[in-house]
Amino acid sequence: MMTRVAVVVLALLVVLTGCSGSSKAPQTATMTIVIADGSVSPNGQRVEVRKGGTVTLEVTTDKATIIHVHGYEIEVQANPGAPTTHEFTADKPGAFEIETHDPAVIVGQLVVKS
Amino acid sequence: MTGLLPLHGVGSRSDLPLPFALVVFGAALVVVLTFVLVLRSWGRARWTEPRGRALPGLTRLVDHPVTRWALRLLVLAANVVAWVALWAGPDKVSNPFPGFLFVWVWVGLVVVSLLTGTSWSALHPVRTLLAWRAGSSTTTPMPRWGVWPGALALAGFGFLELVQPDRATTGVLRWWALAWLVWVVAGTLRHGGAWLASSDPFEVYASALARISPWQRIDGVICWVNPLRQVCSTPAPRGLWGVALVLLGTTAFDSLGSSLAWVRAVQSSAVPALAWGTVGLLAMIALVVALYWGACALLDRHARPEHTPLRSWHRLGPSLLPIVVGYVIAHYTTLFVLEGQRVLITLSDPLGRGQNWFGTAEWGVDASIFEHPSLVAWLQVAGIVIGHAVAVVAAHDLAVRWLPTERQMTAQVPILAVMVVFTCGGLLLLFAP
Repeated sequence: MMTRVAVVVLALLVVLTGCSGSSKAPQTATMTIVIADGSVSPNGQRVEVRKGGTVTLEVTTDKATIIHVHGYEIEVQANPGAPTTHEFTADKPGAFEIETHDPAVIVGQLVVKS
Repeated sequence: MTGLLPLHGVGSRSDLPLPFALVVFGAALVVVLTFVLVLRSWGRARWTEPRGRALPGLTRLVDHPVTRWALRLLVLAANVVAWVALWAGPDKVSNPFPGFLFVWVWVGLVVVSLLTGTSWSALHPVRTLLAWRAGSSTTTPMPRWGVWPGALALAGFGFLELVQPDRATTGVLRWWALAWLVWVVAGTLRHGGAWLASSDPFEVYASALARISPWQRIDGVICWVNPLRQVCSTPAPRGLWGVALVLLGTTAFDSLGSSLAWVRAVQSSAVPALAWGTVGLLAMIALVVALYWGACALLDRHARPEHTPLRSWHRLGPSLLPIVVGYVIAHYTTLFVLEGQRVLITLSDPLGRGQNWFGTAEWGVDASIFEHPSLVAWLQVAGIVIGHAVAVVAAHDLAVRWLPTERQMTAQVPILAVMVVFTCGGLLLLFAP
């Protein structure tokens, strides 16, 4: 009985280690945010980037707002007119919400993989 | 701009979603472990009597008035500082109160109870404040309604933690803190210390988890015990199963509600987020209750007639607690390590005036846990799988007491299946599609 269990566990471990090596996140990531007439795009989009990579936020809005990257505590003031661009280095791994404050909407989630 | 905005919630970072392979591995391990444990297990209850190594020296130290009052005053002082921050501090990220409540109290009580047994209730600040009144102590017997008011209050806390808009602003938290104070103090003045044991959500939760700690008082003496023996041999108060299921349902909704799929659905709907959250939370609790009730009803059909008055959902309640702990480990470890440090720092300046009351205001947060995401993922899966294994063993030891010998195996299949569903559900939610 115990040997059979050990074999199953071992087999799963092999499968697991095989899978985990294959997912590599990109070195750069861009999130394009458009706010018009109170509607926000995207709606809860996931953006993946490798730790140490560069994230670019591109914001076009018809009303002044703040884009907030949780955890990194980055707050980008975006005003109507020309798109606002903000670049930062993703140096902390984890999953972080990105939201706009007016209207209060979660535009997406930044996933930083090491 | 930074610092001008009130914070949105405690824990602005969540762990990486678990790799799907790890989820599958964990789930498979759960199923295999369940059947190996039960097929190889025993036909008679092992842990019916409380037993352990008596430690009279430790008991004398713990019960000494100096030790007791020093610890009580320390806990009271920490609470007073947090309340000062709540009522007189700034409504900013730097206010320690939200972290104190959602991290030190809500997650800390799990750590305290697992490591030190029932010290949470012994050091309860409301007990300390009402110590001049007879009958506020921890020794008064549980009232006839058991811990049902506590289960209700825990559902209320779940609503605050996961649904309440602006839950980390002092404006909102003041109302909740006042409601809690009235609930515990008025009840204690009327019913004595037993009210805290049955109705304070934090004490009810802490005392439930103290049942799976390695410490137990037997005839007044602190003993070092096998946690499985303790959880199986201590009679459960009425409603303990309700407490465990509210906690499981709340945790499940926590994972569900923070998944992007849920966020997308809520944001693209015309129904307000508050309604989505309320219905979602209640639905998750109802789902967990329905599964557990169904399985226990099936189990009861096999029970020996002399055992039917006490239904199995009551008897098996304690065995759900290790699953709760597994979820907590998986869900809150990094939050506790990171935000817990931040509370220690911000507590030194509760008024937000740049003061340094305890000399910790200049400390930094050690974020080295960030560097080990795969270790964290393994810890999450290990927490859930070990919690599940302990729960299965405990449920088995409890169930064989009233099941006829010839039908022990078949009778237990539904409850084992439900436990597998709870555990795999928890793993899947950590994968958070």
